[in-house]
Amino acid sequence: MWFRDILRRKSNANRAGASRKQAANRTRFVPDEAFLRRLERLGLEAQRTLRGRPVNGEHPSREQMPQTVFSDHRPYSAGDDYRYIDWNAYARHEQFVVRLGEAEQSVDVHVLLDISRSMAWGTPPKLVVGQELVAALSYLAMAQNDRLRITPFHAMPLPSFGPVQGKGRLVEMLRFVEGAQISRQAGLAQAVTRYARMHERGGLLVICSDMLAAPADDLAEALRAVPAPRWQVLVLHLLDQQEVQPNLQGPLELEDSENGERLELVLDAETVAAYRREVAAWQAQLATACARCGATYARVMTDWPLERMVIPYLQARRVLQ
Amino acid sequence: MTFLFPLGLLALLTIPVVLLLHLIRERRRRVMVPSLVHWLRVPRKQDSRRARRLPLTLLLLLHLLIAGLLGLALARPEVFSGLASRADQLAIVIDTSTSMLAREGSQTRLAEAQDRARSLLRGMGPGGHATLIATGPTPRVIASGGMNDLPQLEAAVSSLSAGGTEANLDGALVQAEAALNLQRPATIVVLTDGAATTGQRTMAAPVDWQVVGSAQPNRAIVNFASRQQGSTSELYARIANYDAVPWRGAARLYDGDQRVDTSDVDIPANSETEVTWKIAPQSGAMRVEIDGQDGLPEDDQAYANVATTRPLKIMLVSATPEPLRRALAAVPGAQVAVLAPDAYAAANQSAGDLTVFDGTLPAAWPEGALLVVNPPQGSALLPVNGEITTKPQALAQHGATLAGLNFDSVSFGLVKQLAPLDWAQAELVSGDTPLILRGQTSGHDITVWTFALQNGNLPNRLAFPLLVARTVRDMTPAPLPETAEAGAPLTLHPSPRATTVQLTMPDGRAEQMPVTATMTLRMLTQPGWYELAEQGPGGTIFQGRVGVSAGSVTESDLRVQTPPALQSASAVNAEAAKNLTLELWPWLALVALMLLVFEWGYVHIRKV
Repeated sequence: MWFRDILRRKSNANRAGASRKQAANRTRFVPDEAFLRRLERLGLEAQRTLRGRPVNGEHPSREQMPQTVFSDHRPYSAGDDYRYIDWNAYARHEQFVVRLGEAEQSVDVHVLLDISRSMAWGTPPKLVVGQELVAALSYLAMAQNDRLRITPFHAMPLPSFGPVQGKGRLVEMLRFVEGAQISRQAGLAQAVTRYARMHERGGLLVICSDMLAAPADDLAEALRAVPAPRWQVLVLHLLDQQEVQPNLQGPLELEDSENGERLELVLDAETVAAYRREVAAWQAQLATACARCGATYARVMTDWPLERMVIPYLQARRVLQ
Repeated sequence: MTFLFPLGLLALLTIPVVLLLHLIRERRRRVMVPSLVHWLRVPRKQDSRRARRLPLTLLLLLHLLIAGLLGLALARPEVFSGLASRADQLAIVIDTSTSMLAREGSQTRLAEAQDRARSLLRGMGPGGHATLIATGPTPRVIASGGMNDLPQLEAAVSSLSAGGTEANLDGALVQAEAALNLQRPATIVVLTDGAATTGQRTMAAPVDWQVVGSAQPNRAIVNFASRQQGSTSELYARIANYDAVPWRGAARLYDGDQRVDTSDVDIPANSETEVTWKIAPQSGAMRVEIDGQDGLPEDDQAYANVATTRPLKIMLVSATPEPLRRALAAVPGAQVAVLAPDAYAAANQSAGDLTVFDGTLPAAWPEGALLVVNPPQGSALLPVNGEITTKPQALAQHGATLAGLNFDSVSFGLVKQLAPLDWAQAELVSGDTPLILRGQTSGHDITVWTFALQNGNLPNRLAFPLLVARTVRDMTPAPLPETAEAGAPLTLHPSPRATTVQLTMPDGRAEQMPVTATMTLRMLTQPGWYELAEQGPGGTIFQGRVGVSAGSVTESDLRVQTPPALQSASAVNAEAAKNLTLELWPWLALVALMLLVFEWGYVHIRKV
């Protein structure tokens, strides 16, 4: 079949570098348990304002409780534990005060994974990258004893995994993420609004999507449904290199992966440059919409290696600690 | 290289169509994008603003190649190779019979044969020698020469015209063999439409038998003649349908330019039918035609001139004209004028076709044929030595005039004994005494009967009117035939008084020929009416017409004919002759098919 190789139109993957070739091999989500173990030293950075459960969580809380680690005092009231009375303060002021410390809490972590048709596009497919990200973040949440809920969505939320707490159901979680399949056309605002109505308690919401069904206005509407401080929103925007900088030329018939619509275009350098400007402006609008709503916007390129580039990037964006 | 079916080149018109289609519909590569949202916002350039430029793609090249190859294959190209360029000698036999007028696309078979002949001549080696032989009913060498004579050879090829209801290929092959020096490499190329009359034979040189043209249906009038039925005449036409399907049409009969009758004709497939008409006695130039709607319209008409009787002016100079006058008057067309010998000598009579001197002789032979009966003594023209009475005995008959005549019971009585005539031969002899002599002297055709009719009983015998009729027939101009086949030689016996014969062709061309006693015309190759005029010093002596028809059983059948089995005496040359020509269309079609498969695979791979 040598002639077939000769005649094969050079694919985008062939033109990319070595990392791109590696990325091209990632055609489906395969859980890497060793990688997940290495993630244990990381943690999700939840805001203090979130309303959590002060039981055995690891996130800081705005609540203060009698603690051995001092941060403040309050007057003793009947019923307080004698062990937390600051006797040195009593010696100086002859008043009983109780030593207070910062309470830690576990939070609800909601992960929304976009499974619309456009997520099947890209090298590797955005869905695979999304699955890897969701699995990693979910593992962190479970490791931090947070209450985790994973929900795939397209135009509406689909049956969820969870809530789970602790790593006991790690395998189930991985299987659920692995089983996510491409479905219908997406509708981000509608899906997030409905999800927020179902989970009024709020929590850390991770939206993992390519945002193609969400113009900036749509995203803003979705973020208004999950307001702070009840919700802390992290938007992971998945982008493919070809999507940002398409390497296309000449007369083409473009087909929308979402709805199958076609568009005939004659692409030259000027048109491609205009497209790039349009995509850049779109990303800026998404980032602005997130910033206005207090959400964190993180652009993730699908060809980035997860451990070497995505995790440090998220750490830099203060998504991970 | 020549094209056996040049009309196939029209398929090359698909090339601009392919270009146009590629220009109109540029093949757009379909690319899947995650969403069209951003592309829709990009300012789009209109196609009309973009310069139309033919996209030079592999697919376009493949389509052009395939169209070109198939177009060429349809035209059936043929290359001449091998022996043609190496043979020292080349004899090209070109069939010029009527069937070569059949249309093959835009040209006739003859034109195709001429193209092939020209290609063969151009492909001849520098030291080669070519002989061109055209064969209709009679083969003839039309040109011969080497490469230096190429213009003359090509001109000879171009001058050929088809006509004739037979191709004498046997004779042409003999001529070709005779023209070749068999000690050197030689090849005979026969360009014919396959209607071969030659059988299996061994040739001295290898023969490349090239069939020109393809099988096609044809309708033809293969026979048209009249026959006398008492006082009326009947016309008879045989119409053939050389086709695999029945044919229904009409046969229209014309007398001159006036339509006389129309008969419906229904002929089964590959069959013939006969049509007859009763015609009036005064009918003349009859013509029948059918709507053949085929590739050979020449044989859709046939001609017959039923008014062929030629008037004969006979002058009888005799003192006792009976019974000779009666016998002469019974000859068809004869106009007998009787003159007494004295009156003939006194009058300055214009000569007739035949002058009969009975018992007398003029001072000098008049013009025209002469029959002398019972020559008198004392004439310098026919010296008579005496008289002798013949005894009943066996007669010796010579010549065709007297063949079959019975003179057993004839008594000739007193017979003149002539001095020996070196210009005459005896046709009827009794013992040593010639009774009938015939010969030519000083341009005069003279028959001498040495006996007197009154002395014997010949006038009372059946042989007498027959003898008179045959003598008149042999000595006077023959009537024209009512019909002739195209290309067949026409034999004329013009009037001895005529000096020239003018033949006017159907296309209006006229040709004048000096008169001889027997003339053979070989230029009647085209179908139609031929006007014939015999002209003497005093003006036109006779005017008639001959209808020439092109249809015949062998030439009108345009179906594929089997080439004859010809074996070459030289096995080496015979093997080489097979490689003389090579038809390219199977190879072109094969390459086109391979390209089609490649194109299919290419498109399939692109889609994958």
